[in-house]
Amino acid sequence: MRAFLVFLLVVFPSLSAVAHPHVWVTANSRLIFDGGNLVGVRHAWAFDLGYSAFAVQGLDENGDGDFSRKELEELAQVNVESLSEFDFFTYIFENETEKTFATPVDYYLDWQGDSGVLTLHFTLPLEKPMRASADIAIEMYDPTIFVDFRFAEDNPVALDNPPANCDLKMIKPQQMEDSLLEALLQIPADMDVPEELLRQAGNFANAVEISCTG
Amino acid sequence: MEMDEKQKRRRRNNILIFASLILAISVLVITNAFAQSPFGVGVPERTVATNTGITGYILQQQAEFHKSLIGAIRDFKESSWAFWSLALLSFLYGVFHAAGPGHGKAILVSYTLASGDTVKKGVALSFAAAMAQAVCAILLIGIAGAFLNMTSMAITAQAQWLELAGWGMLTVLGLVLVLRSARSFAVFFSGTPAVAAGHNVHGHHDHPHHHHDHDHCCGHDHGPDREQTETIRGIMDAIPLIVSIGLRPCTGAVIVLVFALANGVLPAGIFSAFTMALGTGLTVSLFIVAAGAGRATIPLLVSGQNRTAGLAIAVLKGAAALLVLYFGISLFIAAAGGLLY
Repeated sequence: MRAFLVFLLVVFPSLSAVAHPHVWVTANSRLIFDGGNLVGVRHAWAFDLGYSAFAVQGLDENGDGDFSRKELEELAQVNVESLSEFDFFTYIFENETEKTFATPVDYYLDWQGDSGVLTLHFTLPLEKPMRASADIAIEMYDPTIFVDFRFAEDNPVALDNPPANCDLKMIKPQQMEDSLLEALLQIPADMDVPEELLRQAGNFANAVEISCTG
Repeated sequence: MEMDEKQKRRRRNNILIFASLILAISVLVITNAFAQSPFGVGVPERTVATNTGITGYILQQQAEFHKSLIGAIRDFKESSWAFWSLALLSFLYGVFHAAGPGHGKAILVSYTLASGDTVKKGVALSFAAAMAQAVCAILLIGIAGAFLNMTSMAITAQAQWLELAGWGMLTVLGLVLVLRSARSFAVFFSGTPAVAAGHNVHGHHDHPHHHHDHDHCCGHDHGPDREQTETIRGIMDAIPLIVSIGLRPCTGAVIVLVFALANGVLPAGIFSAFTMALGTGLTVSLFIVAAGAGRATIPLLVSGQNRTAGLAIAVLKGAAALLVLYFGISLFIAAAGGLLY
């Protein structure tokens, strides 16, 4: 029996190794409106120093010490293609029903030499425009905990061409309950997160709630 | 030969142990399958969480360590006094990060059980494997990054190929261990005196009070070159084992190295990687020690007949050998899937 207990001691801690963030993203987003409807979300994701340095490795083709948009084009393409498998970590709900985005447009990577920060810009157009008068909720998070998302302190969400009287609420992520965390971490990489779990996890994500009466 | 209650219980415990191990590893490997970076570059480690209550805390701590480490490299760039904080942070990062997947804990524990090696040897292997991972990360970034100026996409692909090769090697090692174990069983059940191949199983002793140390065979029945055979075998096993684990570099070390390279302080990154390896080796060693303690209780629990004790140990080793083979195959398939994806 003792041997069995020792085995448990050995095996389970090795499984309890939790995924932890390897990439930190500070986000600035814009909600794009057109004629009283929400038509898309535009993200500007600024990566942390470690990932930024790693990602741009070897891409300075002209050797000028700077990474131009052109030089970063291939990487941006790889980023966007890979992110599509993860739904771009962005979930949008109209009156509590999840809606879908179409393929992203206007994407590129931007490098800031003095700060060493790489930023990914892209627009997620909605498959179907959403009435701005509906209860709209947008959540941004990585259920696999590989990426840590935060909205920027300054001007986290801006509104492009909104109708009048928009009520915008920013919700910061709370600490997730361990049971929920474990449930999320158990989902294999190639499987979609079930909607119910997504909804629950969304409560702990960075969220934006908006509704316009204008 | 009839087994008494205690021996039946022993066998049942062994079965329970292996069943839980196999279940645990299956879950771990399946969730690791096709692990892919959401940005297409970098090699993430997917995992399963079973801790209750402090999962969130561990997450936070690991994340903080990672960030501090990058900061320490930056500080070192400004002032070399930051050397000590870099050393300490790297070491601690290695210690905590080794609790995560990808540091060969399960593999090393299984191998130590399969080969019947001493805990001391297992600990030495732990540190050697950790160092191998550091060397791999350093060579990868040193050659690919500094020398060839490869892109992060190419580096990621390279790391994936290295990983694939490592698991291929592990599969071969697993096969060797399983074959050896099979021969031990064949010898055991045929009742002939144990020869070099099955030196840890005694089929021919029928003196119940005759004591045997299961790590070293009794000298009077086997060739004088036993120790030599064991040593050669030990080295021939150890090298592929260490290399197979080493070929999968720690993501944390890779990122720190690239960052150091980008900031013109690659030596600091190299130093950090080695210090991390020290911490990793320490953590993995703890698991080996725990497993060794578990294994040592087996002869204590099985009284009386050596044949049964020998059988229990042989079963343990056989199952552990199968585990190593299983790891090799599963991880190889998972890595191959990640590459093909």
